[in-house]
Amino acid sequence: MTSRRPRDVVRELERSPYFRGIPETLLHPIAVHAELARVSDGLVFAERGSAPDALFVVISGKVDVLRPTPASDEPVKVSELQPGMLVGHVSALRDRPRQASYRAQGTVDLLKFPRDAVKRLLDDEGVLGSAFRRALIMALSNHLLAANQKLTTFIGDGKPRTAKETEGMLQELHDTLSGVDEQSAVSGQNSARDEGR
Amino acid sequence: MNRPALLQSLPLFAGVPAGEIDRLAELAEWRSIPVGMVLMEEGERGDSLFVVVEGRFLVDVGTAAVRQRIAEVGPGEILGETCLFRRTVVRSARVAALGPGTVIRLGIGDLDVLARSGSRLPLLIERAVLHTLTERITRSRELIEEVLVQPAQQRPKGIVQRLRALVGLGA
Repeated sequence: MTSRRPRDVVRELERSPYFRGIPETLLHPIAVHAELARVSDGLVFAERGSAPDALFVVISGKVDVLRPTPASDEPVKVSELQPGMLVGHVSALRDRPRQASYRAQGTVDLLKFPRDAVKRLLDDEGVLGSAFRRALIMALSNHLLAANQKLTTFIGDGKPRTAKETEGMLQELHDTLSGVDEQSAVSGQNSARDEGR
Repeated sequence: MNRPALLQSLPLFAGVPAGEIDRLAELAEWRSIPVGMVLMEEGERGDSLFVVVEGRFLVDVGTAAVRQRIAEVGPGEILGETCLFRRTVVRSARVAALGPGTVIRLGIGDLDVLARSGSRLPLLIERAVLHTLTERITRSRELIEEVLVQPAQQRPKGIVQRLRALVGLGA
């Protein structure tokens, strides 16, 4: 992994849907806490069961999400994360081991916030900490809203469901709650922010 | 109890200096909710959160004809936090008073006013919201994992409804 200047980090943070609405005057001091990192194809940069030593923002490339499934004790790819998505934020907030492994699909650029930096930002009592906390609130609420939409659709049509259909929906829901497959909710959020400007 | 004392009694505001509690009590909009009154309607646009100060509230979803209970909440619990921070989200459930209740309503502007005055309350509320969202996500994921490892015939009934209660509370 290599690190770069805070100015580069600001530019990349502005591209993430969760940080986009934050004024540049606040993004700069947040950026000081992060570093840009490049991960080679196939490298697992955050492993299931490991301590949440950092929170990542995917900048470019895709990240495979690996975890065991009912059909396999060995971790298998269950989904992938797109640029702008977060990695390891739920584990970092709970200070619990990671629930999945994350592997670079091709070369991937990431913003890395080490654990101590995350803690400092979460504990900051000023506008800086507030901006960081609200970015995470946006991300988490996105996961829940997307999951709620899926459940509402699943329940709403009133059709009887087979066990297999329910299992498929539950697996999809698990990924949604992990921050995967929420592009529509993120897009909606951005439109709303744009309207508010 | 007077209003500041009511707020001070909630775990959410434990340890907050009296001066800040007084400021919150002045700034927040207080609502007395009679039994049966709807505090939030499913599908309506929201831009604020509520903190339950007194009483118990039923959270349900559905149509006018068929309602499905998803949770019951009481003093110190936060409702509608997703709408506060996203502002353009519609309420995901209906919330109605099970008995006489009291809530405070806070908008994002109120939090910003408190932050500019140097109050720690926005920090506490944002932390509480982060904790609530993280717990809902984690409990939902754990519930799914518990269910998926069981053979299909042995899986508990009502899993979809339990998940709906966990993920649908925030807005």
